[in-house]
Amino acid sequence: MQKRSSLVPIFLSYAFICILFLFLSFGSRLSFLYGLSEILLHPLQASSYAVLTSYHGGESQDTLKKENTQLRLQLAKLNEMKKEDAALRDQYQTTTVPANKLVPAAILSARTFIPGVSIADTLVIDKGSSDQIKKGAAVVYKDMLLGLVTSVTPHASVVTLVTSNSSSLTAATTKTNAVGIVKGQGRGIMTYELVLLADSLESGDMVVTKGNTDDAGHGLPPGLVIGKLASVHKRASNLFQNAELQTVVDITKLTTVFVLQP
Amino acid sequence: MIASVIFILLCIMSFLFAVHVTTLPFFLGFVLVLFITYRSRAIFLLAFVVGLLFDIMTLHPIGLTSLMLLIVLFLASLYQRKFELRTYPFVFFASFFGTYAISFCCIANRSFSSKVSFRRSMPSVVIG
Repeated sequence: MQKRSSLVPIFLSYAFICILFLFLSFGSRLSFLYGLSEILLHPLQASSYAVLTSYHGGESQDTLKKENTQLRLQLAKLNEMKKEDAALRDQYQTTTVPANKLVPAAILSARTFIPGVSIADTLVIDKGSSDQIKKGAAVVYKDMLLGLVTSVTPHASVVTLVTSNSSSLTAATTKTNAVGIVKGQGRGIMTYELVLLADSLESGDMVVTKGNTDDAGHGLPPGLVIGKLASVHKRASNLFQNAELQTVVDITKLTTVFVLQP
Repeated sequence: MIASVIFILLCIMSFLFAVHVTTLPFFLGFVLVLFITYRSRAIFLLAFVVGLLFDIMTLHPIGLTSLMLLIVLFLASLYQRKFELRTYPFVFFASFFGTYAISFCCIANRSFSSKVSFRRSMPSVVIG
């Protein structure tokens, strides 16, 4: 057993290094370290994510038991390539979003509270500032908005999904053009709030982005699908009406997403 | 030899799960149980390295997770004279408060809501 006194200097020295790292990290002086480690770790990260998600994705257990680790890895890689190929074909056939503005990115991690039960609030993708990805860029799949880039390092970015409780954006319905605010509630739930009582909301109507871009084209373009109205809550005594919003894309099935560039 | 292989496999698995699959800090329970079992200073080095790798791979500020893991281990070491560490209640409490502390720092980093902190601390007790 180690004596407490011998652990104190060890703890203090490691803690000092951690605080130093933190200080440099908040000052954005460690981007080279992120970049270097991302170059080294991305292949491992992409492979392990593919293996873990392919296992989690519900392939039959009997098949998985028969496969050895090497075969499983190869299969996961092949599936990932097929999905990526299909995603690219789908995406570039989509007409709303101009294809020349899209940067395909592989999902490196999508952590959830309880895997298979809860839905991720953030994604880590394998494209960063070296690929001209900027904070605030929209991340889409086909015509659907998945989220916004909230943090960028040289070779990776964090995407905060529209279902995250820190997400909030202006939107409108497609049929009735009722303008409101889409707020993420976490765990894959969204609400459509602050819609005037005079406006009409219908269950099943699609909600799309209202658009919020600056002169340089940075920001959120209009017309990206956010979700479908599931149930409408309207009371004459309230100032506004609201509704529950359903996502139209299953994030757990995706391996490739697209970052929209101005 | 077998114990070492199991230890390495568990370490890698818990780390990869925490990085890719779940927001639960799997490795916290793992590192804590290791410290309680072996009480070696090498566990501090392991916590430091695992925390750094975790922060880099999840794009958190580098050093945050390492610092939290080190603080949890250090607090556990402070109690070793007053309490018997190799007991379920101690592991339960240490896992709970360790996870809550890490969640609290993540709130400061805007990664989680405060409601989630308590919920994620409960399964950590079971993992621990």
